[in-house]
Amino acid sequence: MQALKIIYNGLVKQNPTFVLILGMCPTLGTTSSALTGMSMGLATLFVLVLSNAAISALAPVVPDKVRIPAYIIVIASFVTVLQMVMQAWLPALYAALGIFIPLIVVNCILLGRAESFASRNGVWASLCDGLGIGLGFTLALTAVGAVRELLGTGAVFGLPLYPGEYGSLLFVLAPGAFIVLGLLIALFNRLTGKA
Amino acid sequence: MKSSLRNMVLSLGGIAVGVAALLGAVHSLTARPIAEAAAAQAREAVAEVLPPFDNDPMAAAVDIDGCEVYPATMQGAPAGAAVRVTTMDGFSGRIVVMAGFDAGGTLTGYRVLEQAETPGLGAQADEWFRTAPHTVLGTSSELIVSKDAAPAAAGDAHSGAGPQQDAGDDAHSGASPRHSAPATETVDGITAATITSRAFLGAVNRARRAYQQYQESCKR
Amino acid sequence: MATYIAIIITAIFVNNIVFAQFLGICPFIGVSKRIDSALGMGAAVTFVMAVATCVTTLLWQLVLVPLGLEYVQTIVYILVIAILVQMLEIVIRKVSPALYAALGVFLPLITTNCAVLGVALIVTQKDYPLLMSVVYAIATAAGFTMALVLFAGIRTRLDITERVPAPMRGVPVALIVAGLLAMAFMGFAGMKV
Repeated sequence: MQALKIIYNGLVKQNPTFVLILGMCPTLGTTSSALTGMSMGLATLFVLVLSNAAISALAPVVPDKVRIPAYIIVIASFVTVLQMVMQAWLPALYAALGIFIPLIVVNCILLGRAESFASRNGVWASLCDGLGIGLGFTLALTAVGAVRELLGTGAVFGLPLYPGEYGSLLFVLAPGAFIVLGLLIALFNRLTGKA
Repeated sequence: MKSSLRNMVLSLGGIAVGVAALLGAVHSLTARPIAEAAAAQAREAVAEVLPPFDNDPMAAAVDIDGCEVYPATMQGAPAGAAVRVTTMDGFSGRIVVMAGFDAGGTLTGYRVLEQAETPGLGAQADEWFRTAPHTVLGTSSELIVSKDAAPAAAGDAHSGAGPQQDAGDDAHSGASPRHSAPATETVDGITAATITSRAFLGAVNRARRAYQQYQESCKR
Repeated sequence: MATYIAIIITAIFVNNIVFAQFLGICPFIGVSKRIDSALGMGAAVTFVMAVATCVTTLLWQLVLVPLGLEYVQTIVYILVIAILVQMLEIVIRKVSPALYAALGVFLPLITTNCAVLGVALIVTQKDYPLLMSVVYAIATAAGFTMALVLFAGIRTRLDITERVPAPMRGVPVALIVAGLLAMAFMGFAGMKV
């Protein structure tokens, strides 16, 4: 029950993209299609779950003054593990996401969760938090990617819904990323009754 | 936890050792699959663009004029070559193309290995030039975008495209029209992506010249 | 020389780090409410980016590649940046309290600014020599500062208006403005220098 509550919290109430407005760079840079957006979300989820669990285990023995460097080392090493695993078994995806994979290190979501949740809670709870926030991030990236792909190319996940000639390429390009994300955040605000 | 020099050094040192062990372990596990994945990708591209062959073209790689030439043989006889060529003439950043030629110099296949062109426009190059009305497969002469070909009919601006010249836009700025100039063939470029089309065709032309140079060097 | 000019123009306009490469968005949205703070952030980023790129390029060429340790690139680079930022903060505080008052608040934010790590990774990927890397870093930071200041100018006006619908206030409308700016910057795309 407790675990479900933490996951729901990360997925909706504290959705990293739509509510906390964190991790904007990958949200804009990797969402030219639903598939790349989802892959980026899952890659971040992988690192977030592992780093959250490791940091919550380490937190009791790390002195306050070196807390941040210690967390950065932990996060960076899991990112490096992810890089090596993707290069070995998912080289095409690794090439498609490019620089945004190593940049997971500086995704504010990871250090933010380490500071505000993992360092104060147990391993199991932190794992659930990582899962919830990670899923929330994946969901948001997939949504942005799906909207951009649909408006830009007439397809979602490569599945054509209307002829591509009617799509507006603008949405696949850089300006479309900003505009779609802005509108989606506004929609989320409207639906959750915030503001 | 309270910070003291001792526990700060100990905890950071401990984490560093743990991390080093983890990374070393994962690296030793993945080093070989990573190398294999990269090699498999290159081998796959070579196999895709070439007519049937039975040697290992990657092993016989030659560098000609900045292009990697991977010669293929069938039962010992030359069966063409795959050429890996890089151009910086694209719309955004570099384009890497693998082009395959048979022994007679006819383009048998191509693959865009790397590009950062505009999604939906220039990025279509990998598909565009294989589909019916604008295919480049099966051609064996210099290729130019049909849009650029119009003035060629009036003057003789294009015939200077010699092997020494760089690919791309400059290819038709040559000065000396000569009867020995290679035959040219016009291809419809990608709609709204003329720069990419020029860069792509220029890259294929350069690959063909590199292959011809390779063939000549073999005769000697 | 021509190569350097091409790199500078490309990094500032054609491949603007915010509008074309989507890096450094967090400070772009967070610190761009006033023009003077945008300038301060821009100056701090320029400084850190130039020094960090210099150090990481040297480390890459002289240590990581010779030792075959390319795979620890990410972890080494982020540590270099974190240490540099910390050191800069201490040095600036001692040497120039005036500069510290201007830049101090922005320095801790820079460790998690993906533009800094991003540029260090990009120059390694492009295999630039040392001087070219530093020039590229400074030009990119100039492009970042320009984007930040432009955006701050628009946002100060946006804050005054009351016509923005409630759910759109704040970040959503800022993102849409950024989208319009990105559209303007698309005019530079494909420009050959």
